[in-house]
Amino acid sequence: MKNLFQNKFMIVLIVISIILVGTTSFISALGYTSYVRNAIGIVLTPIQKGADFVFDSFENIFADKADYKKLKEENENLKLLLSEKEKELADAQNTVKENENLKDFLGLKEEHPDFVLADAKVTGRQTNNYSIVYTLDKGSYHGITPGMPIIDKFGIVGCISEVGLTWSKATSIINTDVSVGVMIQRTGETGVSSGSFSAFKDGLCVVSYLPNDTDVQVGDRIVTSANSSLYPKDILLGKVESIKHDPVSREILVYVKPAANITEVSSVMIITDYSIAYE
Amino acid sequence: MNKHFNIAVIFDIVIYGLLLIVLSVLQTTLIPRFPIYDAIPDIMIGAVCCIGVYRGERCAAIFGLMAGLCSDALGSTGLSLLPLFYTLVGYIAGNIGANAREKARFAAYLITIPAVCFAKTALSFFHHIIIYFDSIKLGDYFLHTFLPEFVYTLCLCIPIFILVKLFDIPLNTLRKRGGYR
Repeated sequence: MKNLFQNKFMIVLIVISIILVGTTSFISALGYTSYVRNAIGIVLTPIQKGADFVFDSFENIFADKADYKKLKEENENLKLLLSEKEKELADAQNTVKENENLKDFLGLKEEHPDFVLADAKVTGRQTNNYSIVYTLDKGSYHGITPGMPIIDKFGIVGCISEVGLTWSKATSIINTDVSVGVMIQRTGETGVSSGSFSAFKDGLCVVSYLPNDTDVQVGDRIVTSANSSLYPKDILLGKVESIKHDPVSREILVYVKPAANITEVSSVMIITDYSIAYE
Repeated sequence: MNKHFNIAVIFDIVIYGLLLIVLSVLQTTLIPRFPIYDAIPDIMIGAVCCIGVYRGERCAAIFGLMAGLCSDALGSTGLSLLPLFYTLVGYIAGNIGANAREKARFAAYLITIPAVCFAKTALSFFHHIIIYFDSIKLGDYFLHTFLPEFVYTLCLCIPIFILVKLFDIPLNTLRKRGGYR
């Protein structure tokens, strides 16, 4: 280092570099480009362009692969998320439907505050020419016993016929082996509703044991009577569809269309307990 | 001897000119694609130092001046001290190399390199301080620019050394034939 300023070559070189630095900076400050910078730029810029193109191509190859992997991963994650959201939507829709059902049953509960209700889903349905049997998702574990009536928001559906631990079976109100004590709500006349082979195919049940002079009209509401051992009083069975006179027994047969959706019911309430009103 | 000397000088100019072009292009097209934090290393400084240790102060000083002009032309705008800086680095490295024995030249190179990298990083720091005085945060700058630039430049000096030695092979052959250093 001590001979730096004694080295003529180095002194000349340092002076040249200072001059170049100074003039370049001064010209650059004025907004122009010096000849030296211009010349270097003219020579190197095309080479720079070519090298940039080559490196860009390499970068694109690797970037495409990295992007593909990233996009694939993102796609998988989005598929999972979509699947979760679809499930959430389905659950939400079920909840909304259940909420609507419960609101309807709330009306029934307000009408019959003594009812103790347990909600159940119809998980299966067996239908043949003379019976409909429902499989429900509640059983003895939930306090269900045979004979308990089942209703939907419109009216009686049937009653529990068989009970397992976590399941139960119920027969519909229009089954041929089912009988229910009923009354014409308008007049108070009582009779017995049961299923019949002929009425079953139309989804009707038949109210019999009504005298020939019974005051009954099409459209009359038929409800359970206090005489029924299985069902609580004043639960709607259905409306009178048609009336026939039996010449043999001299009685009238009233064909009733059940208010409940017997064939398509999916959600029911089981009346596990109620108070019997003695009149 | 004169004829050989002239041919050797021409060869020096051609080979080191090519080396300069390669380094300039790499510095401006490839190296900026791989920053570490905010730091871009300087590969020119390693080349100037290597030429200084192995070829002497004159060759390194001239190479440093040209390298500084190329870096200035392709990179920065405004005030740039790189031509002066690289010239001095080339001279100092050449002096150290001249004092080192033949077999100890690589060790001399390894000793010189950290000092030179530190000096270059410090120069960048002062340059940034002058331009971004109000907005620069020293702690962040030190961690994300100064230190990474120093380490990155230091690490790249070894491959640059190999590149310079590759370009030196035809020159060495000629020197051995002509007896010129």
